[in-house]
Amino acid sequence: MEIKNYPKKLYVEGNEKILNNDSIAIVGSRKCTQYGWKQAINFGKELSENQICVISGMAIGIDKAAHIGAKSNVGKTIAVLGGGFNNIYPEENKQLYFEIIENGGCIITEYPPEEEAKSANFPKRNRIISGIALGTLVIEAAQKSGSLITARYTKEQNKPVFCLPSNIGGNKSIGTNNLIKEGAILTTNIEDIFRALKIERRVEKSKDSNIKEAEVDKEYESVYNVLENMPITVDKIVMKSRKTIGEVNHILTMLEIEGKIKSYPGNRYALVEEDT
Amino acid sequence: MATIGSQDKECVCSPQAINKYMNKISGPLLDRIDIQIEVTPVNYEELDNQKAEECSESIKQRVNRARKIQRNRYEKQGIYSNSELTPNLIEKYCKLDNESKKILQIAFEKLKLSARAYGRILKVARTIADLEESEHILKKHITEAIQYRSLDKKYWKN
Repeated sequence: MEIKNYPKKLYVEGNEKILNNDSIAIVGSRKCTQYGWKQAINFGKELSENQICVISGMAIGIDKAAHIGAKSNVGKTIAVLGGGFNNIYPEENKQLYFEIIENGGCIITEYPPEEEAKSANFPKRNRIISGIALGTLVIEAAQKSGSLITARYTKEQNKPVFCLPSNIGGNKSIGTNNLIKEGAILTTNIEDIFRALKIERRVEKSKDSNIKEAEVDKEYESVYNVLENMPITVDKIVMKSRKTIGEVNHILTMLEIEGKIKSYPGNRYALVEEDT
Repeated sequence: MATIGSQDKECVCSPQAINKYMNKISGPLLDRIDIQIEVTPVNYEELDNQKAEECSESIKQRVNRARKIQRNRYEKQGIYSNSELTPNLIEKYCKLDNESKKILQIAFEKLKLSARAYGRILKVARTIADLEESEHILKKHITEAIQYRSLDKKYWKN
């Protein structure tokens, strides 16, 4: 590795061969929005489909979404931990840890197995994330966040920083939008990443296969048709569908158990999209 | 917590804090609440907006009719309302047809409802049916009642 302050030792679990493959880091907020989560999955998936390995920190939020999107595709995924293998953090990502390995990815850390996942370790492990990658894509970052540390390391290592733009106003957009102002590459699709790194696309863009008309019972159409990809409140659904609250609640339950829609905190509903 | 799920304000708590909070109020305590509905903040324009809404007087009549139906039904049981139904009485008075049974079963699996929620859903469904003066609990009553267990569903776990 060609980075400053390189780790003296790396512990690896899983398929270490992929460490030398072309890779892109995807990092971002642990408490991401639905938009960030979905985009991290999409970018992880598309990069991996194009034989680009996706590197992240196996935290919750954007990291997790990026790993999930990438893990079962040809490019695989690498997680860099801030603790030893005997202290997987956070607990809820243990399942993901095993899935990454089972799918031919790998997990690395510079810490011995017994090392606890100390908060001081996390910023440090970010230099390894950017160090392995050809560039770093930041998806949603607050003004002060670990993702910005990874972006800084990336710049120091003379590699490009890619940024997904977010709506202004939310605190998850401040960090990324500032990075864009400072010269990070505004990124809306993987083409932008490939162009900057002079990489050829390795698979054809799949024909928008996710625009499928979901089969919905006629009886439920009135409600289904007013739902969108972004969650809306039940009150709005009632207003737009011109049904009573009782009827709407009935239909929402039916659509939800059929897996066509999903509920969100705040009594809100949205259409279900693939992989989310 | 006040802003989680709100559209206008972003929640600033850490995911751990949100989980911790959710877990604090869920479980045994939540199971004892018959109806759980999340309400979102209302902005001024909506308050000002004069929409045709059912007035309290007509709601009162509807409720009174439903109470009367229940009083008559439970005359011999020594209870007054659906909320007082014991497990045995639930079995007697909250019978479901096969289709409704099936839906309730799927809902439990898909929405990960707690087992304790079962009786509550049946009682609420019975009440919804009474409000509509329907003798039997229909599919739409069950599905509506399921909606009112919204906090049982485990949110916010990526």
